[in-house]
Amino acid sequence: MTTLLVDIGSTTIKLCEAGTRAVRVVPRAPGISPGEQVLSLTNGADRLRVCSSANAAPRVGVLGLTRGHSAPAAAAGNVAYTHLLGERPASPLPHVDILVMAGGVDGADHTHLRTCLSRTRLADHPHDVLVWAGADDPDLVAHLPVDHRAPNVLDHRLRPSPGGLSDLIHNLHLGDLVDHKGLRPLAGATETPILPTPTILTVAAERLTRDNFLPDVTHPFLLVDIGGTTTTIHHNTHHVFTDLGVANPHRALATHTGLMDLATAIDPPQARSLYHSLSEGKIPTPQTAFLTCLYLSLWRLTHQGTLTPQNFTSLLVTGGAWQGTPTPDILRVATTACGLPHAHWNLCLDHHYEFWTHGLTAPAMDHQRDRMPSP
Amino acid sequence: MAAPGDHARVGDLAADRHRLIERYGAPDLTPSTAADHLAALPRARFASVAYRRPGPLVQPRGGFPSAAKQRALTLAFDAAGADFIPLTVDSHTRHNDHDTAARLLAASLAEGRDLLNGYPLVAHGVTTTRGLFEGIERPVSLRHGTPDARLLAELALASGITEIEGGGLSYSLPYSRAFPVERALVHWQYVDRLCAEVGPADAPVQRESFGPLTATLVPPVITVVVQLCELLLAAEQGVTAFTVSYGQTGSFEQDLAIATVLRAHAADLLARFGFAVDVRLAYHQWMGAFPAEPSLAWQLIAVSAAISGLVGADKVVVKTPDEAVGIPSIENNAASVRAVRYVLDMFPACRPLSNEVVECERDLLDREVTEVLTRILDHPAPSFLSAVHHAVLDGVIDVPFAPHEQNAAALIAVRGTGRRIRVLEPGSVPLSTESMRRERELRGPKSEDGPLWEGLLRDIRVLT
Repeated sequence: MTTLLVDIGSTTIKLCEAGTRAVRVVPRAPGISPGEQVLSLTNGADRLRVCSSANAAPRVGVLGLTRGHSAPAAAAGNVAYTHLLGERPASPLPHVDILVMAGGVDGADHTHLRTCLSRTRLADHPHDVLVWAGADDPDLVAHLPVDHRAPNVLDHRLRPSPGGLSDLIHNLHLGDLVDHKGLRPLAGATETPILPTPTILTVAAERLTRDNFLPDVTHPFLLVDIGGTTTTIHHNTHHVFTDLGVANPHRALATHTGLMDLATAIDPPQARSLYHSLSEGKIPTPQTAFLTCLYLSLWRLTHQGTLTPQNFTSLLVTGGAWQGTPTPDILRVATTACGLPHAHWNLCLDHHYEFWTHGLTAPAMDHQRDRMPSP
Repeated sequence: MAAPGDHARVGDLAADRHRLIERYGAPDLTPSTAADHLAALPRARFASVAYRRPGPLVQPRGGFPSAAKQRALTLAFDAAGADFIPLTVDSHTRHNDHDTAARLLAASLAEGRDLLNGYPLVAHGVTTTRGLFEGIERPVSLRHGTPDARLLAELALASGITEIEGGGLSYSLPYSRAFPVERALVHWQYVDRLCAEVGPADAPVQRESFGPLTATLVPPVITVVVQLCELLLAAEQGVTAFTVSYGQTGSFEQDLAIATVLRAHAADLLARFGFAVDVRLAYHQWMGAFPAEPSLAWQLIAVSAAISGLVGADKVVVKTPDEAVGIPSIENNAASVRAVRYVLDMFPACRPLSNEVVECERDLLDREVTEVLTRILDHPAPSFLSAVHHAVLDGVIDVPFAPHEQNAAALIAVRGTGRRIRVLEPGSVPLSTESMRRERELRGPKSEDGPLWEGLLRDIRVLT
């Protein structure tokens, strides 16, 4: 009995026969759904286990009274745009999976909010699902075809409270994975439900803590997986950055406020020249793209206060994007991004995708968290 | 710690310069044009040489679109006895919108009226600009407000302008809404390094920071910290002649205190980090809202001229009675120079004054500057430039009323007893509990006659 493990990414499909280290990486074929392509690659395997990181989050549009609060919360998705309520877009907006509308403070006077809502034309914002994540007054959006409500992204003391919206978007994504990502052809062919790759990483991280299947990794460790269009960091839970992948870090570069620090971390002797390239959205090499994603993902978590990098002894880098990057560069960029340039982390590179294979071959019960319907 | 040092010096400026000059594509500008021209220029044309005379030296402002009118202004300033000749650049050029500047220059010439608020240096180019100063034996100072002044500085230096005003903070926070501060700091490294490289050894190019910032209720601690940061950033790039500056605060005592503290901290920091820089002090006459009535405007100009002498400034940057109305005429500009010179002659070789109030202001300002600088220098950033950038993003440097999106705008200042500027809310500026206690004490009794915005408006218009 052979079990074939499959990871469907945005740009590649990874295949590995369970129990071996022979990983094949196949480019995604144009004009064919990922599910059909996987079936063409199985070569008569008895069993299939599949995860998908392709377009790892739904496209989200955000309409708010300000641009400040709902956009970060909606970052659980792939934020396509952020606009102000009541403002007509200057040019047609792209279709999004989820349109998030937010505004107002619970219990406050909503005169201004009502005015802005009344001026908002949903036809200007094509979407599949409408989510309200603003003030809790039910009358506010009674005239709108709201599909889901999330807790207000501002709490009553005007502090950002993004957790509820973030969870809702995540759950909508799980429910959406099979139909929207072209995996329907795999219906009935997989041994376990198809899960998002970040969930598999979480399972693997738990197994690593328990079974220590990578002996070089000391505990506690920080896990980074950088793919074509997303970056995932495992730290207590997984954090997915849908704008950070080696194929598409340009939007993230355009909004990052410390490009000189980034350039200095990546290439100290040529920092100024690299800074100018990055400022113009140019990524000179694939290694630069990898290091950029590594830096920005760690920097964001550190500056959000959700990462405590002082507590880690190992940095585990998985995925294939790191290959060809000198290990001192990876360490320097990671520690600098976390504000700990002199940290002595043990760097472990997952040469054979063992982290992924252990996560995907875990007993099915380990996959129960974030479970989604089998296709 | 983000210690300033030579290690931050731009290593290969030649490649950057080559790219920039090639993109500009003017036949009269090559990478060697500025150095060659400056080497042959009479030493009287250098600001750093002029500063060897006792001050305050007199520096007017002024810029017109056409070369003919700018030449007339230059000759008028020369005849009026200005020690420095200004070249004030128009707003489109400041934002590197050279096409619009050129179009409006052409329209100005065609229609016989000024459609630009200054001299479009990039549109005119090197040869025309050199002609403005033929026969003039005084240094020319470039006044602009450009976050990315690389090309402007190249052309100015090649045109024989020997003093370049501005900096990554002082020409971005008050002058721009969206130009990233980090990018401004990086581009000003280029300008600083350029100035350090192209000037003759015996007459270095003078760099000058712009201390007034928004000139609107800026507390002295912010003014001084910005000046010191730009001084250190320039020193890192090898600049050896630098002018720190500030604007008249509206309080004589605070003006005196700022001069003392700014000089002392500048000397301490340069010694601490091993830089050798000749530091000069410029005093800007009142930069806030000006009285519209000419007789009052003249009084203000006269008083601030006197203060510039009493604070021991090396240079005073003068205003005109037209300030409240619009762009000053050539005649008004020249008259202001003569008036300021007349007042300064009444205070020959005066020495800075002091009294209990001044000492109290000086002690508080000294402590506040130390507190903020310590936070900046202790930042675990990879460079001093990065630490300064983080200081802006974190609100450690916070300029009241600055339009820039990256400015925290959380610090609130008001006028207290004696019209002195007091920090009411520090925002994220790291002033200690003791400093804020002193700020409250010195603010005096709280005004009860209206909301904060009314008080702020009153304070902003204090001399109108």
